[in-house]
Order: sequence, then C-alpha cells, then structure tokens
Amino acid sequence: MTPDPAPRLSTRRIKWLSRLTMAAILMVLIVVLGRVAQLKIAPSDQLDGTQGARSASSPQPRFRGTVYDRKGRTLSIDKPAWLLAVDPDFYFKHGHRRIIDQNTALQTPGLDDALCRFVGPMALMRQHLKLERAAHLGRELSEQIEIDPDGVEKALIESPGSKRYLVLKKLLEDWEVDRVRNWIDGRNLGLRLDRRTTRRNYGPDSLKMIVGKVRNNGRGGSGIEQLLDENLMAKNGMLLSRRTAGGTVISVPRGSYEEGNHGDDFQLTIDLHIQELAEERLGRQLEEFNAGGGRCLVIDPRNGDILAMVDLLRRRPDWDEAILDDPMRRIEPSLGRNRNLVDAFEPGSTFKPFVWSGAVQAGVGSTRPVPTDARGRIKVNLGPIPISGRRNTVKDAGINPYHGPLEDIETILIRSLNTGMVEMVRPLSENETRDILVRFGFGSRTNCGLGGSAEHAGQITSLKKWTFANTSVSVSFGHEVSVTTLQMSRAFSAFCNRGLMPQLRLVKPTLKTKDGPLLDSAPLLMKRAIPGDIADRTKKALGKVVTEGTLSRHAKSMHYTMFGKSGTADLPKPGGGYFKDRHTSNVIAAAPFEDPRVLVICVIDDPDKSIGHYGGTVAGPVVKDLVDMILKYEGVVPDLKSETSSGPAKLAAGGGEARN
Amino acid sequence: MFAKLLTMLLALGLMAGLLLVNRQRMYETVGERVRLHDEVERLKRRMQELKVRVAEATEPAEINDMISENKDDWKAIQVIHRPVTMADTWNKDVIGR
Repeated sequence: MTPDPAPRLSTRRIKWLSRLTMAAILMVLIVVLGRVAQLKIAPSDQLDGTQGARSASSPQPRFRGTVYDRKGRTLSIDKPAWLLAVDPDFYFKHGHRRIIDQNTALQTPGLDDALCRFVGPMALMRQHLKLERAAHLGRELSEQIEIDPDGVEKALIESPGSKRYLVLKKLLEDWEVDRVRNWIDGRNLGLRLDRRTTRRNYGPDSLKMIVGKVRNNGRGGSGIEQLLDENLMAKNGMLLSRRTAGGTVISVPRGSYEEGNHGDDFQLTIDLHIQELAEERLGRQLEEFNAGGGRCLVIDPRNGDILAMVDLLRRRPDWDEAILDDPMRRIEPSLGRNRNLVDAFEPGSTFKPFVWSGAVQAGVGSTRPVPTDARGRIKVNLGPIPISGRRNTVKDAGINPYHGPLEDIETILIRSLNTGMVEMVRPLSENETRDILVRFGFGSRTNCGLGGSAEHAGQITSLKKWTFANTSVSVSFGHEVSVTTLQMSRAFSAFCNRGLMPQLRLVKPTLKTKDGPLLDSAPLLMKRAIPGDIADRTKKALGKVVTEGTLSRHAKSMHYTMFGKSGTADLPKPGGGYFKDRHTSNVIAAAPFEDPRVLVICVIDDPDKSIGHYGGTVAGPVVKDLVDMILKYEGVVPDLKSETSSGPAKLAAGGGEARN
Repeated sequence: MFAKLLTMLLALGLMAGLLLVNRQRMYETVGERVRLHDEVERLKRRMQELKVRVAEATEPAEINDMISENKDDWKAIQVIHRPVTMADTWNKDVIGR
C-alpha cells in the first residue's frame, strides 16, 4: 500500500517552513549582532557626536603652593572658595517654575497697544515674562546672600540666548554657600556652585611687599610669588566621564583623567614676628623724629638668613620731600618699591669699619706707618686738614671732646674721626682702596633671591675716575659711595664670622621640590672679605663704639653685648648736590658680641633736624630695641648683667655726642 | 525543531541577560569609583580649608605679647651642654644613670 501523498507533502512543507523560519531568525540575529558590533566598534559620525554630548568634564582644581615663614607660620595660601553661576537658558525654560508661583507670575500687565502692533502681543508677553523671571531670581538670591538683585536681573537679561554659563558672584563666603545650598534644596534651577580659589596673605604691609601678589590669572605678579611662580603654580586636573542621559557615570575613558598637581610649598627665612616688631618700632621712630622714611633689615649673620625687611615711607604735609615717592604702595602694598632692594644711600661713617679693616690688612699702622708726634701718638684730630687737589678741607664733625693726638688706630674708629680715616687711606694706592670695597661686595648685587635685575648694585667710582683727593678720602668716611641695606648687612657679617660673608637668602633651601632642593648652592656659601684676625680686631673696636663711642648713649643694650657703628650723611638733592641741613641717619650693629645671632641695620631718611639727626640718636634706639626684643624672642641668654651695665658711670663714659 | 529553536532563543536570552547584569555591575563600580574620587577631592579641599583656618588663627604678635606679659621677669632658658656618662653616678639628678 502506497502512502498517501497529501500528508507527505504537508510534512515536507512544515519542515521547509521550519528551516526557512530558522534561517530567517538566524539572519536577523546575525544582522542584529553585526549592527551591535558596528555600533560598538565604528559608530556613525552622527551617533558618535551624540555620545560626545553625553560625556562630562569635571575640573579638578589644585592649590597653588603655600608660602610659610621661618617658623612655619602661613604668609600666603590658597583659600578654597565658591563661585555662583547660572545656566540662563535652563533657568528661563525650566528652572523658574520651581521657584515662581505660576499664578502670581503669569499675571499679565497692561500691554502697550503700539508695541503690541509693532512686535506682536505674544513676543511682548514673552519679554515681560523673561524680565519678571530674571527679577524674581535676583530678589530671591538677595534675600539669601549679599548680592545686588538689579545686577542679577541685568546680567540675565543681557546674556545672549546661547549662553549656558553666567557668573553671578565670583566669591562666596562660607555662610553664603550654606544659605544657597539650603535654598536650592535639591531643586534643579539652573544654578550651580563651582569651586575656585582665592589667595590670602597674612602679615603686615611691609611683608606683603616681599611676598608679593598673585594676578587674577593665577600667576605671580610680584615679589616671591613672581620669583617662585613656576614652582608655586598648581596644575589643575580634569576628569572626563561618559554619562547616561540621567547623569549617571557609566565609564571613564582610558587616558581621560589628568590628576594635576598642587604647587610646591616654600618656606622663607623671614620671621613674621620679627617683621612685625621691626615695622612697629621703625614706624614709631619715624613719627618721633618726623622723618620722611625708614628702612630696616634684620639678618642672621651666621647663615645670611634675612629675618625681616621693612621699608616705610612717610609723607609729611607742607614738607618739600626729597625722597622719591612710591604711590603704588598706597594702592596695593605688594606692588610697592622695596627700597631695601632698589634704592641705594650714602652711608657716612657706618662705612668706616670696612675701609679701616681693609687698610689694617694692607699694613697701615704697622708696616705702613701713619704720621706720629714725638711721643709716638697719631697726629690726627687736630683740626681741619687740607688735601691737595680737594676743594674742601676734611674735619671732624660735631663737638668733639677727644681733641688731640691718639694712642692707637682703633681710636679712629671708636671716635669716628674723619681726619684719622684720611691717614688710614693715605698710604694706600687708588687700586688698593677700591679693592677693599670690592672685597666687601660693594658695587655688586647680593642676589638674595628677590628683586632680580631690579636689585641695586650700589655705586662705586670706576678706577679710571678714582683719585686720592676726591675718592679715596671721601670713601674713607662713607661719602662718594652708595650702598643698599642688603650690601651693608652682608659686608658687616664679615666682622661676625671672622672675615667671612654669607650669601644672603630669603628662601629656605631645606624644602625639596620634585626636581631636587631649591637654591641648592645657597646654604653656607661664604666669601672671605678679610682675614679672621683683622675681622676680630675690627669687631673689638666696634664693641668699644657701643660701650664708649657714638652708640653708647642711645644704642647700648642693657642685656646684650653689641658691636656696631653709626653714620650720618647729607641727604642728596633730587636734582644733584646735597642739602646742608637734611640728613640720612643710620646705624648697623650685631649682638651678642661673642657669637652674633642677629645683625640689624636701620636707615632713617630725612629726620627733622630740630628734633635730632645724628645716626646714634635717631636710628640707634631702633637697633638697640630690636636687638633686645629679637634676642629675647629667640631665647638667647642675656650676656650682660643689668646692674653693672646700666650703671650711670658707664653710660656717661661715652661723653659728648660726636657727629657720627 | 521548535524545541531546538526555543532552546537556542533561551540560551541567547540568558547570555544577553548575563551581559546586561555584568554591564550594570560595571556601571555601578565605575560610579562608585567616581564617587570615591569626588570624596577624596572633597577631603583634600577640606584639608586646605583647615590649613587656612589655622593660618587665620595664628596671631604671633598676640601670642608673643601674652608670653611676655611679665617680660621684665622673663629669663631665657639657659641650655647647659654637659656630657652624661654612666660613671656620673654620684649625681642623683642625672637622668639615664
């Protein structure tokens, strides 16, 4: 029996249909898989653009390095702050609905018929609503934080339609950030708080002149901030992430995260407290002597650390000021001209120790004798002496109670005798005298780390123009030469360190950067100015200046042994020449005598002569008080017994006050 | 045949499901990492804020004025460098005998 063909046909058809369906499903699956692969591996440009729009970049703000003082107190730091911004487009389209009651907001005003005809009622209504919504945000924000509501309204109205980011307030206080967050309360209004930083400086105005200022673009604009800008500057990071439409992060593409890095921290040699002490004490003295300005520099002579650097200018009404004004410091202290660095002055008798010690080293007083009388006493201080080729005679200034020949050359220094200094340089050639100045570093910058090429190198006469009558003689008592306070303190350090001068420094080299220690060569870089025994001999004579000489009355500490020198020079006229009755008074001193820990120089410009003008009288008390205060602050044991040193007999031993 | 087809579809569905679960886990991990990163950033910022607070609270002049209220009586601490040896037994005050 043959099988029925109809069922066979039916079975075959079912099989055929099944295979067809399966093939179709497989085909569809293959197509789907292929499409998925294509979307994953090589999406079309259009799709890729859409993916890009879903990626978000989050800036990772980093902080500029902090500047500390010698004892780790902060001088300049980046303070985290917040900025308030709005997305105007989002706010006008959606955000306003979450803060404005629609029933009150949509009250339509009476529309101007003429305007309606011109722009159409709907456009006028839209404009009205925009104004109302902008004003509402301004009012609401001004109730929460300190912000001008009209300013907010104006900024929103005037922002172009395409603008998606409008800064409303650049810097919010902490309490304002809290208020804004509470007010927003999770609602998406189009407002956002963004991180930013602001630079904060601490310390007196005179310190701001050293630390300097950071510009709005985050780069150092002056002072240390500018000098160390490359190291202090931070590099902001960036995190690029892909997000869903709802904002959920789904991936961070490889290589799209830049960590950024904070700037390096630095420690200065400046001591905030000593800076405050110096500024306060100097300011008080300027007031007392009605002076036009003053400079004060405090260093540690052992290592050249600059502990304080103060420069004050004082404008006096109805006074013909001869000192160059600095209007910038009144606008912004950090942009002021630091006269310790850029202005040189004529030192007067404070310069004598350098020439004296150099002359002693050259053999003056031993192998190269000075003129003596029959009893072997040095023939100086007997009256004005004429110098061949010099216009004026050289005389010892002021009422001098020591009139007469001297027993030794040290007395020239102790009594600050101009006629004696002439005899000290008379045996020396022009080259020898000039070489003394060069060896003490005069005429060359200190490169202390601030000022750069703006630092004044001082002025010494070139060898070609140098003459004995007009240069050697004048230089011997500190005329015909100009110096900075930095140069003076560096040179004077030689008497503290047995003839060695340290490299002055403002930045501590101990803090390391990624590339190694900064200013690696700075620590303990010493240069010899004179031999140790000559330095000690000069130091001893300078000690007597304090106990017996020109500093004994007003600049002698009751607690610490000191050595130093005062000077009074004529004030130069702005147009050339000198004032006869206006002066620059200065004193330089170091203490304690055996192991000097602090060196102070104080220069007071143009004190009122009717009150006082001698260096010892005007600048001496500042130096003495600062030595006392600083050494106490540093915990240095007083090496003088108050009962013995403050005895009236010893104080009076200084006798009359010499000019210098 | 239908059974085979159904099995295949189920297998494919299972694979797709596993893929989705795995994907979701990956998103969660990435999200958590980003959240932790933000937290680290927040803490760094907080640390800087605290540094600023310390700086603002440091008033050296005031502190030193307080210390030196009785500055006339104040004496600097004198450090005496004296070698301490085991042999120094007679002195009861020597630490480290």
